[in-house]
Amino acid sequence: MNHDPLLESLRELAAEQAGDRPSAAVEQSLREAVRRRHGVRRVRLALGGLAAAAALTVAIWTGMRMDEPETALAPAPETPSYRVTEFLPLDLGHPDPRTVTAGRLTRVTLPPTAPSSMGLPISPYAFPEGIQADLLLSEDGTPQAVRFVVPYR
Amino acid sequence: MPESIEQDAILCRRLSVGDEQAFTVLYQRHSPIVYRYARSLGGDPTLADEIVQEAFLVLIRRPASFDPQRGELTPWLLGVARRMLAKRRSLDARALPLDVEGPQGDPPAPDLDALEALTRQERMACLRHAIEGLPSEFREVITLCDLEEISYQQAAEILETPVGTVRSRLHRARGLLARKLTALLPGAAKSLEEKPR
Repeated sequence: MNHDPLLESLRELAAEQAGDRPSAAVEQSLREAVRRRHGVRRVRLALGGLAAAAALTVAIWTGMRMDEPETALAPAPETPSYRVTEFLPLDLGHPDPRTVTAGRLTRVTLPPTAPSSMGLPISPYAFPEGIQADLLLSEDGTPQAVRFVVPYR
Repeated sequence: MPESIEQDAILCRRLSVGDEQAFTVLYQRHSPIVYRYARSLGGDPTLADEIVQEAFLVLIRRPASFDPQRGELTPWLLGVARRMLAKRRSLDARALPLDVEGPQGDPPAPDLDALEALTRQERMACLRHAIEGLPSEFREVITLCDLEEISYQQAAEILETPVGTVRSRLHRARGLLARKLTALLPGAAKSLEEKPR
């Protein structure tokens, strides 16, 4: 069976169709989907940060009322039994926590979901009873940043 | 890993963190073939647009579902598009089982010399019409292997069939296409009648 004229015509058709493209509206819509999706993610993270900050504020307020001991701004004493994460800014419009030169550090217990709400890969199931964190407060008592205290296991 | 796969893998990682530029490159690189495939199978440019949109939405939402270790992005996207089309086509009467309409064994040798006598425009119109008249299983193998020049191996991945099935399906599809095309050509009936069988 001779298919040559057929294959030749198919090649011609392929060349003719090579310029076919989806409509411009499709690309526009998909670009918006990319923006929307990652915008939503950012909002979620920000909301997570706000929620964590709110939880922290409540925890601090409660802690202060109970006269819990506070430590100075110097790094929390670390023992081989645990490690700490980097300080994470609470993103409430305050300056970069690394520029804070005075303030105080308070250790609090946060809900198990606090690390993941701030984008850390720490499962809420790892600390079902809450996770310890160091809260960096500026001189006026405003929360600036938080770091999580993770025990070695 | 081939360079093109590696580049796509990097672009997908960038897309996963919201890099719109990476999306644009991926889209410009792969959307035309997805569109042509969907157009060929669905027949309707609006449907093809929708299929492109849905396939790329899967990539936007789950970029990690493309595993560069398992092959290139084009067949992956075409596979996604195929599944989308299958969902929509489930009610399409044209999606007949192969055994119902497909020719068995070697089809009779058609005389396609008349093709050459037509103008390019007429030839393309005949060919499009004949392809549209094929059962979807044949249409997609012609589209993938003959029009898009995808390798048999990649076509097999997209169609989720063994390579041997792709080869035999393509053979049968070309035969049926040739017969349909011959029937569309001027004087085709006469030509077929005169041909010794």
